Amino acid sequence: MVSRATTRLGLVFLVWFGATALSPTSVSAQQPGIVELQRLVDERETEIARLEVRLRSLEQRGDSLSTAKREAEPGSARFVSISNQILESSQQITNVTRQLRVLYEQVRDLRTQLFLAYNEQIPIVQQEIDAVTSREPTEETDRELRRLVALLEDYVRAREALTTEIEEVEEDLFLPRLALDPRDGPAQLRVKEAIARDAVDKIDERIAAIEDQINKTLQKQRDLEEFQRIKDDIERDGQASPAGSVIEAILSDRGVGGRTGPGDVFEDPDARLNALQQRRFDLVQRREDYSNKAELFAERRAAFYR
Amino acid sequence: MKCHRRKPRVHPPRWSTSALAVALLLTLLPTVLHAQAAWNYDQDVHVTYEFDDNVDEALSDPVRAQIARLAYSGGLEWGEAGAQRLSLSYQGGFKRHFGLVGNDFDLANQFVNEGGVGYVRRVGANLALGGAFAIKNRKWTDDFFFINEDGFTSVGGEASATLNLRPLAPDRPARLEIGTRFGRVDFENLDQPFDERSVGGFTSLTEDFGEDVSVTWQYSVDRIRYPGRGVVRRDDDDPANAFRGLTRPRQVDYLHELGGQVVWLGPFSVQGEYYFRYNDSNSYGLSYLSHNIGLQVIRRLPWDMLAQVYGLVELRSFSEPAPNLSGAGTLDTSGASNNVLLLRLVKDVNSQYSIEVRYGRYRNESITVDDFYTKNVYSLGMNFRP
Repeated sequence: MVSRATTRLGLVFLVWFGATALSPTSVSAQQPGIVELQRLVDERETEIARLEVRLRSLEQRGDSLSTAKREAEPGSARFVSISNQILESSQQITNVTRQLRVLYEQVRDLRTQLFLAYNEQIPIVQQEIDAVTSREPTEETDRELRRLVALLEDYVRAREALTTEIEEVEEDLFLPRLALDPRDGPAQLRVKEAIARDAVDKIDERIAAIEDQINKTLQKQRDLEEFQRIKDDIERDGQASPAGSVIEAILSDRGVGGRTGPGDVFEDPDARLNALQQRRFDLVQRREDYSNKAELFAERRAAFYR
Repeated sequence: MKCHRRKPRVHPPRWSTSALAVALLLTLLPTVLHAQAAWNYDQDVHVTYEFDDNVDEALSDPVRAQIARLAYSGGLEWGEAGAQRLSLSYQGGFKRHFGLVGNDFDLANQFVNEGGVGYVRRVGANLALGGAFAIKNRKWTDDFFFINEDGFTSVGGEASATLNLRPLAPDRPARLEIGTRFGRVDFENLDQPFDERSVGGFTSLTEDFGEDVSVTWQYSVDRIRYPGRGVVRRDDDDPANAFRGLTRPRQVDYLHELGGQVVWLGPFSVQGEYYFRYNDSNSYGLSYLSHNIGLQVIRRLPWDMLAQVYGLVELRSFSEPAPNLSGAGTLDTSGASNNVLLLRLVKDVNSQYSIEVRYGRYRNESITVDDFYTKNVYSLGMNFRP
C-alpha cells in the first residue's frame, strides 16, 4: 500500500515537474488558487459526511424492510407495499453510493491539485524571502519578511498534512464502499461478502505495516535515549566532571524519553507516533466495519435458504 | 595510589553566584498554576551496583571500590505541543574503597550528589528560550582522599536561545542555538591552584536529513581563570612559580572547541563525533591542541536485547615544549574522560523495566602531566521507566 501511494506521489511529482517545465506561468493562471481549492475540498467533505450518514440510515431501513418482507405473506397487499418501498430504498442507496463515489473521486483530484499548488507556491515564497533579505533592512522589510516566513511555514505544514491525506485516500481506492441493498439476492450477497473479507485481509496487511512503522519509530527514540544514557554513564564514572559537562548532560536530558535536545521544543516529539496510532485506530475501526458487513452479508444470504 | 591528608582551608563564599543563577532561572519559569491542562511527565529511575579498580600506572597500585548509585530524571511538558518543558535530574551514590596495598591508610569512602534543573520555553513559532542550573558535590567521609578523585563542588548554569530554521529549509529542518554559560569548581583539598572559574559562549547548528540522519555543528569558547595559579613565563619556566605571590599575573586560558556530530538511526544506529580543541593559555607550556574522536554503535539483538559500544580518544599535543610541571597542577583536572571504551548489554524485561551489564575502561591523565590512571568499571544495573 505504501509503495503504491509512494508511486502515485512520484507520478504526481512527475506531472507537476512536466507541467511547470513546459508552461510555468500558464499553470498558475489556469488553475484555481490554494484558498479556492481548499474551499472546494471542505465543501465536498461536508457533503460526504452528510451522505455517509444518509447511506447508513437507508441501509438500516432497507434491512428492516427485507426482514419485514420475509415475514409478510407473498402476494398480500403488505408484501406488495414493502416490495415497492424496497425498490424505492434501493434506488436511493444506488443514487447515494454513486454520489459518494463521484465525491471521493473529486476530493482525491482536488487534494492532488492542492498538493501541486503548494509545491508551486513554496519555491515562489522562498524566492520572495531571498529578495527581501537581499534588500536594505528596514522596518517594512522586517515586517514583510516575518509575513513571508509565516506564510512559508503554513504552506509547508499544509503540504505535509496533504501527503498523509493523499496516502489515506489511496488506501480508500482498495477499500470499496459496500452497501446492503435490500434487492440483493444470494449471488450479490456472496460477492459482497467476499469483497468485505478481502478488505479485512487488506486492512490487516496495512495495520501490520503501520505497527512496523510504530515499532521503528519507538526504536529510534529508544536508540537516542541509549546514546544519551551511555554519555551519562561516563559522567557518572568521570573522575571530576566539570560543571559544564553536568549542565550539558542536564540540557540533553531536558526531553526525557528519547528527545534529542532543546531544539525539539519546536515539534511535538510524539506527533508522528500519535498520527500513526490514529491511523492504526481508524483502520482497526474500518476492519471491524468490514468484518461486521461480511457477517451481515453472510447472515442475509443464509436467510434465503432457511 | 597517591593519597593525601587534608589541609585546613577556608572556602570562599560561593553561594552568591548560585543564588543569582537560581533567581535568573526562576524568572524564566512560567506561572505553573496557569499551565494548560494538557501536560505530560516522563521519568526514569536508574539503579546500579558497580565495582571498579583505579590504578596509578606509575605505581601499579590498584585501589578497588564498590559503588551503589541511584539516578533519577524527570521531564515535564505542558502547553501547546509541549511548548514548555522542565527537567529535573538527580543522582547520588556511595563509594566504598578497599584493597589498598599495605593497608597503611584508613580507607575512607565517598558520597557523590549532583542535581540540576533545566527549563525551556517556546516564546514564538520559531524562538525558544531556556536555562539550566546544576550543582555537583563529592565528599570524602574523612580527611583521606586520592589525588585524582579529590572532593569538590562544582556549580554551573547557562542560558540559551534556539531559533527554528525550518521555514528557511522546509525539507531539511534545522535549529540554531546560541547561549552563554558559567561554571566554577572548588576542590576540597587540592587548594586554590586547582580551582577554576569559567565563562563562555556556545553555538550549535543541527540539521535533520529525513527522519534517520541528523548533523550537528558546534563551536564554543570558554575563558577559564585559575585564581590561585600564577603564570609561568617562557624565560622563567620554574613550575613552582605557579604558586608564587598574588602579585604574579594569574593563569587564564581560552578554550576553543569546534566540531560536529552525526547520528544515523537504522537497523543498527551510529553516532560519530569529532571535536578539535585548542587551549590558548597565557602560561608557558600549557597551550595545547587536541583531536577528540568518538564513535558509538547500538545493535539490536534477539530476545529484546541490545548491545552498545562506545569509544572515545583524545589525541593531545602541546604547542610549546611543556616544562616539568609535576606537582604544579596543569591540565584540565576535571575533563578526565579523554580515553574511554564502554561495552553495554541491555535486556528489556518488559516495556518499563530493563536490566543491563556494562564494562568501562578509562585511561586518563591526572592533574600531573604524564601521570596516567587506568580505571576498569564493572556495573550491573536496572532501569525503570514508569
